[in-house]
Formats: sequence, C-alpha cells, structure tokens
Amino acid sequence: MPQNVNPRDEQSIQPVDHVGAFRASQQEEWRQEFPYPWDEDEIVTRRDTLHFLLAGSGALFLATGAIALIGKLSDGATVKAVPVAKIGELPENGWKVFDFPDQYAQGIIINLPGKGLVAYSDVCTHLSCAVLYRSDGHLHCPCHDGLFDAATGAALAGPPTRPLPLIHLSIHDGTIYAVKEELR
Amino acid sequence: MNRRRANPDDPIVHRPPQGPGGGPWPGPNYLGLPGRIAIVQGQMFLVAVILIAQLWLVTDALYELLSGKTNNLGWLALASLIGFIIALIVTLWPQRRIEIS
Repeated sequence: MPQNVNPRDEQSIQPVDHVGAFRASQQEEWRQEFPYPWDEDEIVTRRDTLHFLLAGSGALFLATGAIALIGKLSDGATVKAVPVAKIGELPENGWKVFDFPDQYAQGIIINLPGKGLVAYSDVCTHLSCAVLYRSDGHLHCPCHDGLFDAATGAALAGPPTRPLPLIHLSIHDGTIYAVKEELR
Repeated sequence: MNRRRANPDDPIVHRPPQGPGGGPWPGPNYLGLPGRIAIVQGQMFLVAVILIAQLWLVTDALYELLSGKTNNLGWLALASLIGFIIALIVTLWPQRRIEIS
C-alpha cells in the first residue's frame, strides 16, 4: 500500500533497504522454524576445551601417581612369618594347606621328591578356585581342569595362563615358616 | 553458483592457510583467525590423544595394583607424568604467540 509522503518534509524521507528487509524476513522465517535460544546457549570455546583436557591430563597423572604410591606403601608392609609345618612332618609327595598371610588366604606346601619343600598360593590364577596337589608332580584346579607344574608353579594346561604366586619359606628351630608371597 | 545453506547466518568457510607447496609448514598470515583456530584445534587433538593414553595407563595401574603386582607401578606413573608434561608444553608453548597477534 503506497504511503503518503510529503517530499518537503525531510523527516519523513528514509531510504528503503529492500535487500536488507528481504534478508531479515528470510532469517526470521528460519528462526521461527528453529527457535533455538542462541543467547542462552553456554558457549564453550576451543580454548576452554583445551584447558579442560589439560586439567584431565593432570588429574589422570595424579591418580596414577596415587596408585603407585599405594602400591609402594603396601609393598613395604611387613608380613608376619607364619609357622606352617614342622621339619619331617611332610613325607615325600606329602602336602598341606595353611593360612597365609592371614586367615582369608591359603597356601600349599609340598615336599617334592628330589626338590624338597616348595610352597605356592593355592588360589588358581584363572578364577581363584583352590588347587590341589597330585602325586604326579602337578597341581590341579578342579574347577576348569587347570594344571600347574609343582616344581615351578608355571601354568601347564587349561585356562590359567599365569603361574601360581610363590611363597618363600624359612626354617627356624625345626619349624618351617612362610615369610613372603611373590607374585609373578 | 547459488548454493542453499541450512543456516544463512553461518559465515562462509574459507580454506585454511597452507604452507608453501602444500607442505606441513605454516603459510603466510598463519596467525590470522583461521590459522589460530587451526592451531588451537591441533593442540586439542594432541592433548586428547595424550589423555586417552593416560586413561589406559591409569587403568593398567589399577589392574596391576589389584592383582598385587607393584613392580611396574612406578614406571606407569612416570609415563603418565611425561604425558602430562608434553600436554603442558603443547598447551602453553604456542599460547603467547597466538594471543599476541
């Protein structure tokens, strides 16, 4: 609809930006279709992300360091020597299960022919069942037929792949003591 | 050619500045806005890769600790420290240069 414009009235003369008006109407149209509140959007810049990643890197280093520290402290913890058997108590191929280092974990001591006394943790390295000694020189896990060499503790057959933890023994005044467990 | 764009407000995307002969070296005016954006994006990528490696290290350390194997924990912590130092260098070294221009 044409407007009544008095050419002598300078106040009423204003340039009309048709292109700008068209663009504005176009923008308005898609903004109506996607009314996303841009002003309320919390903008995260690349640099914010970079600093966040750097902080994460530091946190992960601290976590790894803390784990190493805990490992170092627990490694140095003193384990009390536990008496497990008397000298001569076990005949050849004789074996005995004992609590070590506390009542919640057990070891197995075996008198192997030609090798003498050896001791291992009796917890299978597959799924933690208790292993038993067989007089053919093997330790057998009955849960999944895992087999370990009684002379070395190495896994021979079945699902286990890691050797049994070795328990160090010490003899004092005719008594055999378990003194330390070595994970391998 | 009049292309349709999903968001008409989006700025036109230009090719990032390239080095002479298309090599990896920075081209002229590489400290302009697109170049600086590319540098920060590259920093983000490198630090993210380091972060993923450190995530693996902390997972392995936890596994070793819970398995009772404490021999390698110090080495894992050292590797994580080296990763953090590299991430610090990657983040801070180009920062002054980027922000001056």
